Amino acid sequence: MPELDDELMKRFRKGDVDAFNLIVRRHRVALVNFIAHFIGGNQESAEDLAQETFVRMFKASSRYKAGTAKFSTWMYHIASNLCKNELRNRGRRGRFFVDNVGPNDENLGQARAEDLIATAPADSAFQPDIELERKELKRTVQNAIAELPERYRLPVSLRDLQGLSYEEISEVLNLPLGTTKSRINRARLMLKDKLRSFVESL
Amino acid sequence: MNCLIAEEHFSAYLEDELDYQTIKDFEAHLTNCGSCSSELALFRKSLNLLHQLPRIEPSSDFDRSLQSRVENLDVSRISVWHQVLDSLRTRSGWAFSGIATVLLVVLIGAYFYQNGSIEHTPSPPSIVFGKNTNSTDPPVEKINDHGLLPLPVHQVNVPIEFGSRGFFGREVLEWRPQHTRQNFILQTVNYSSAPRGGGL
Repeated sequence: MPELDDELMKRFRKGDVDAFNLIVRRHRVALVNFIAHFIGGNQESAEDLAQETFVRMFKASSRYKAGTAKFSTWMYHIASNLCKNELRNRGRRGRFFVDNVGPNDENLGQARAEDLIATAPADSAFQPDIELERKELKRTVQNAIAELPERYRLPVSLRDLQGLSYEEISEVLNLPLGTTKSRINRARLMLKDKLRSFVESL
Repeated sequence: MNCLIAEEHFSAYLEDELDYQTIKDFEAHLTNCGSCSSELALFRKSLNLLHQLPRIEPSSDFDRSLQSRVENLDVSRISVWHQVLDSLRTRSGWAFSGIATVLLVVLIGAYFYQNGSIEHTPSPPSIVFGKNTNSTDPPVEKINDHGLLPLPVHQVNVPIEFGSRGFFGREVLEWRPQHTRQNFILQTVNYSSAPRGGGL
């Protein structure tokens, strides 16, 4: 049975650095995805902020008190604040556009399709059409999320991309539970309208 | 239930968070409202798209880069200072620190005060004639060889005791104008040595 995050943090506070490495391995993918969807930008900046989140956690490990809040709540709270600062620094004021999230999403035109075919492994079940669809889906949904105002983008990312419970999200955002639920529903309604043409074309 | 209220229940309905009566009302509305019914279907599909969003994999040097950032931290300094700063970040930490600081200042002040490093140095009386004994005793009526004379009442500034004790047992002293009778010890004047025939 894997150790709980709280137990790993206890070990880390006693000087066991491997425990912290395990925490990083456990949460890095979720954190990078959350940040990438929240701030937009390229993958490099999302990874940079994810690393900064881990550094802050490393430095502030004594502040974490097991049992008072779930570890992931604490982690996303730090990450959210970093993301907000980043957006503020960029001067985007709540609106921004996705800029090549992911390493190979920049061009989805014919040239990219040819590249995909050319680089496809010969002996695999690789299907360029499906790959293109997947990338188109990713780009469209990411753009739709990116166009949401920050107050809606953050809770819906935590709920539908990170899988946090409503209670955890209200803790991360320091909002009442009812407000959290209402914002998530409102964000989903906005996404429904933004994705309407894409969904109807499927 | 109208369309606006129905829309507010979309998430809760799909996540089974509505109570029984609200579910009944909601479904009754959907039966009669084609628009809400199709909007709910669209809502469900767009939510599924969101859940299907492919995950981004961190680059291969993510761990190495993070490792180097962590290694650059001065862990020994962090552990001490962050414990202090972390304790300050909480409200109780601030309150405790404030009380501790006040107590520390008071204790240090008291230490120096009682050891005489901080002296209460009253300003001298505003009227000085000869040597002031600062006595409030009745004046000595007798004139002796040393020239003790009863003097008239003067208004002078003298330290008075209020009879109360301040912190750490020190008497509270204040300068306050007071009408008192002062005894002065006049310096002895030897008239024999004074020049005669002039002056005096």
